[in-house]
Amino acid sequence: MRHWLNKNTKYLFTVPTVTFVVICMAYPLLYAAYMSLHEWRMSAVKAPEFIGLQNFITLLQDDRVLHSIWFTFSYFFVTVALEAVFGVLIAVMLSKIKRRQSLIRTGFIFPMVATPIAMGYVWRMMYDPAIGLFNSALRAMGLPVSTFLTNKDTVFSALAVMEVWHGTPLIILIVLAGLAGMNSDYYESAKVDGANGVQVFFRITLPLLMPTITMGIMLRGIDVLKLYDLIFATTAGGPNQASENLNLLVYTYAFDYLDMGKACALMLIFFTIVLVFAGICIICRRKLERRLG
Amino acid sequence: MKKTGSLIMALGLALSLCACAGGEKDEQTGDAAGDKPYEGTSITVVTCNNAATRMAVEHLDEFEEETGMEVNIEIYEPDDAIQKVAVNAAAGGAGVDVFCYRPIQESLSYEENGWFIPLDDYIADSEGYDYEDFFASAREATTGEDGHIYGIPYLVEGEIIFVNTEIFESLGLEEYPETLEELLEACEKAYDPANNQYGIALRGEGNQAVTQFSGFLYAFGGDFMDYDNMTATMNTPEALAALEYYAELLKFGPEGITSANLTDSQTYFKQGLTLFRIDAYSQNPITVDPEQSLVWDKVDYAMFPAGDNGVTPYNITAWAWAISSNSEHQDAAWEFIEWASGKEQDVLAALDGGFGARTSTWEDEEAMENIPENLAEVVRQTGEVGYDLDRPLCFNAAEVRAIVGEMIDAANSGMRGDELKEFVETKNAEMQALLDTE
Repeated sequence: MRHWLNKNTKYLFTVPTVTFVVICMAYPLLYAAYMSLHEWRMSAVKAPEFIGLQNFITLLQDDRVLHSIWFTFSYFFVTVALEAVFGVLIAVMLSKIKRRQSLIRTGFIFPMVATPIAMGYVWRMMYDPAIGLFNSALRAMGLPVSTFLTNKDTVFSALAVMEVWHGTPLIILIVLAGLAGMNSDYYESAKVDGANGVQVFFRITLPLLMPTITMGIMLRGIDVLKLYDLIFATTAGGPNQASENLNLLVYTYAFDYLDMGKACALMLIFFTIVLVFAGICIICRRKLERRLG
Repeated sequence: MKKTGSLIMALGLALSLCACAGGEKDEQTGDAAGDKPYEGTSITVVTCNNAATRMAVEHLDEFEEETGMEVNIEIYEPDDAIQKVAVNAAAGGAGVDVFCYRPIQESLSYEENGWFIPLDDYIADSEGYDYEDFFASAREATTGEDGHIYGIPYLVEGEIIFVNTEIFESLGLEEYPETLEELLEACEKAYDPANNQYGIALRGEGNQAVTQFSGFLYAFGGDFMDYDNMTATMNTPEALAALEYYAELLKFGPEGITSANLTDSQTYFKQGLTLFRIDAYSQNPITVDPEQSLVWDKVDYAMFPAGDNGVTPYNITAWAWAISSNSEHQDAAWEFIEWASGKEQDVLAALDGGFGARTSTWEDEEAMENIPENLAEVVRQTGEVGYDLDRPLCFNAAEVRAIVGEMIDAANSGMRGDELKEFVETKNAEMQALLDTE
């Protein structure tokens, strides 16, 4: 017994982690895969009925599903791109500030720690066309009011503003950490060679930060792809499903329509897309790191 | 350092052992089973905020003292409460003992899914409960297709007009609108966005608006479906006319009203922005609460206006109590429901401005003393003419309701005539496809 324990100690120490992964990740995934091939309306008396790939076929032909996929990805590209740009610029700016650095940085980081649901309700009130802060300001300036979240033409932009406000601080933090770890020799060499600030930023800072930025994009990207609370609190997918993303639609199928089969099938489609995205980010990051040596 | 670490670990272990022992000890103490029959029992109740729930919370100590059970009442927004029940059911259903549900929207699916239990035996064995005291329509709404009683109704509501009397008088109007045309005219007269004054507060967001839209649908002679042969009928000329009328009415609401939900429409009226609000009379307590409403002392009430088909508001059994089929404390759950829906609690709820389903409460003058006379008369008349469905009644109620919501949204977005007709035909076909699966 003692010999067996000594021989297998390294495997025994992995048991808690493996158990956690199996219970919390592998089992739900396998169950979702199983359920996606069945029709089950959450009945306590009728068992799930096997229907093969019918759920996937029905979903991929449904305009509502296709719209939610389009919304999810366009929302992701626009918000993450803006967060990356603003995050890098603000982080570089913050890295140059020496006086009251902690206080200023805390101010910029604050939106990240706000509870998404509470934040969503507050922004919803600010966006309210009749009694909201923004339209009150527009009225005071004699400008026409906007319907922000209640118009399908403006809801995307209104949600994107909130998302960028909420998500940029994480990029700032990640980039600040990246900046702190950079070798100052490159900057000294550039100074000697007579490079100006803009050249230093685009030719040295940005390329060296790319692996870090890619990591930040991946983390924010995953958050944005699986966004639920912010959209639920503000528009609940409206107006007329205009802001309905995949996560919200999965929840609707599962707990409004009680169609667990379709919900699981949609979740698997979603999971596959997110997995592919994460894989692309990791490959890009490794290639960048190799290039930078 | 090593000794200190070991000491801390030992202390921690000892403390955790004490906590466990303490827990077991709590379960063993208590009075004899006869005095407090449910001593040591804990039940969870999932519900939403209304007078019946408020009275249950207010008098819960007395109930717990008498029965010995511990009751955890969880209060949610209506849709959240239903989703909590669904999530719990998906997880096996043992976490919730008593839940609220909407008989029209949920009873068919809950009955088919076996989520709640028949209450016939409990009712029969409960002396003095007087089940026949509930309105006949309410009893029918909570009786399943198989003839068993699955729910106990505790809230009824009907569609009325709330009137802001201050704006009404300032406009020089003399009579409350009695027809749909008069309603539209009055709203247009009140519409003054430059001065932050609007004609009407209504639920505008499609899915949310379905219930309020139903009164207008019936007024034009339309219906969601033909229940005899399960045919979707939202593509009739009457239904199309109702959709266009509803959208025209919303034009006289505050900006963004096309996405307004129940809370938004309530807020617009409470803030004193609109002349009228059309919604359920059960929301009166919030409307006249001085702490929540700027118009608490300026509210009057009127009947839903008449269309070509007459006066057709909905008047429904909105909510009922049920016992989860996977509850491990079904007897205790019934004990709670019997108390919460009993005559005494129903009177207390009425005094709090609630609208229960017991005839005896409505006939008790003292119970009705806190309900304004005007409102009581409007409620009485609404009860006489009201339709008992405010949304499609079918197994896929949630999904069918969402499709009707899309039609409302389409009309709200400006679609009219042939364009709206074409859209509605497509959506009606989707509705029919769902009904065909039932």
